[in-house]
Amino acid sequence: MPGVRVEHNLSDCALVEVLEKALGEARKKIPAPARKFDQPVLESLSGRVKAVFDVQMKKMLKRVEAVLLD
Amino acid sequence: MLNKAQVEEISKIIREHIGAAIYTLTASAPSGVDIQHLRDIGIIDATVPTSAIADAYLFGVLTALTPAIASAPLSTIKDLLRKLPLSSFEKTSIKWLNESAALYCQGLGNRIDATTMRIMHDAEKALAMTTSIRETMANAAAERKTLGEMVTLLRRATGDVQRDWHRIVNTELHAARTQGVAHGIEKQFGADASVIVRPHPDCCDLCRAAYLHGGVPKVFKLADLAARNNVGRTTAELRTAPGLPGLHPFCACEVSYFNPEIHKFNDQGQIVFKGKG
Repeated sequence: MPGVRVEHNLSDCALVEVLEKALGEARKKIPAPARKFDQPVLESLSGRVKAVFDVQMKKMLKRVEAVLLD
Repeated sequence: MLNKAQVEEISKIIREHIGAAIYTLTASAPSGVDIQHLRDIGIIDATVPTSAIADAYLFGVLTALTPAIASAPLSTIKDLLRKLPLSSFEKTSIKWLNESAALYCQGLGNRIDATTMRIMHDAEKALAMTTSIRETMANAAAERKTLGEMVTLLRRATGDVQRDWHRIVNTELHAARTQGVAHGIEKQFGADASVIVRPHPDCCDLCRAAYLHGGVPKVFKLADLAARNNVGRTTAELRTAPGLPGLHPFCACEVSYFNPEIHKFNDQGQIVFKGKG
């Protein structure tokens, strides 16, 4: 693994704290891998239901926004 | 800022769309949701969905009876699933599984409702504070800004809910299939049949501890596994006496029939016939 040189004026403890916080933030942004079913049947069923829900959420948000911004 | 009618309208909108989503998953309308009304206002179309939960359960039953079917695509076995004659036991199981999935989704709907109300309430408070502190900002402009922020917050909250919904769908479909496999094994070999649970290759430590012993699957009596519920039990309890998978959300471990008279485990923990391997 390549080494990384960081120039800073922090104490060791503060540096560790800052780096841990930055790493934590970076990890949060990594999307969790979508788990797939081993069986194509379940994958199809799951895909169908999730797609319908996503559409419903979009429609819901649009209607709620319309009420809010009306 | 928002009047009572608007708040009630938003609550109604959320109920309707969550109801439509539950209807797609379970093919039955949750209480208080009028499916015909949803059709009339164009939220759902005229087609009547088949329960995805029932399909997953019946697929499980079929795979227990005919393991080769496990790799078939949905399109090839769809008709078979829909035409299967169901016993009263299977009908009751499907009803129970549908209700269970609907309960989780309803919980999610309640959360969206509560989150939305919280966002609106906080926004009202923030607006009241802003207008009293910063007199320079015109009330209308401040209100517009707050409404815009509310929309942003709502979008973010909906994103969280979407992730949770995907988790619920996967977990409930897998649970329905597992119940189906268990009932299929029971049909063929009786409730006292021996079974093993094959943890998914990337399973967690809990599943490994619950279903394996030294890398080799533990052998359970089907009735014992089926009788135990995984919900509301401690990790220690699950390790020593688990129920049928899933043990946790996104669990993908699978139950399989095991006959101690003809099956054994090889060095890698795989099932082989006695006298071989």
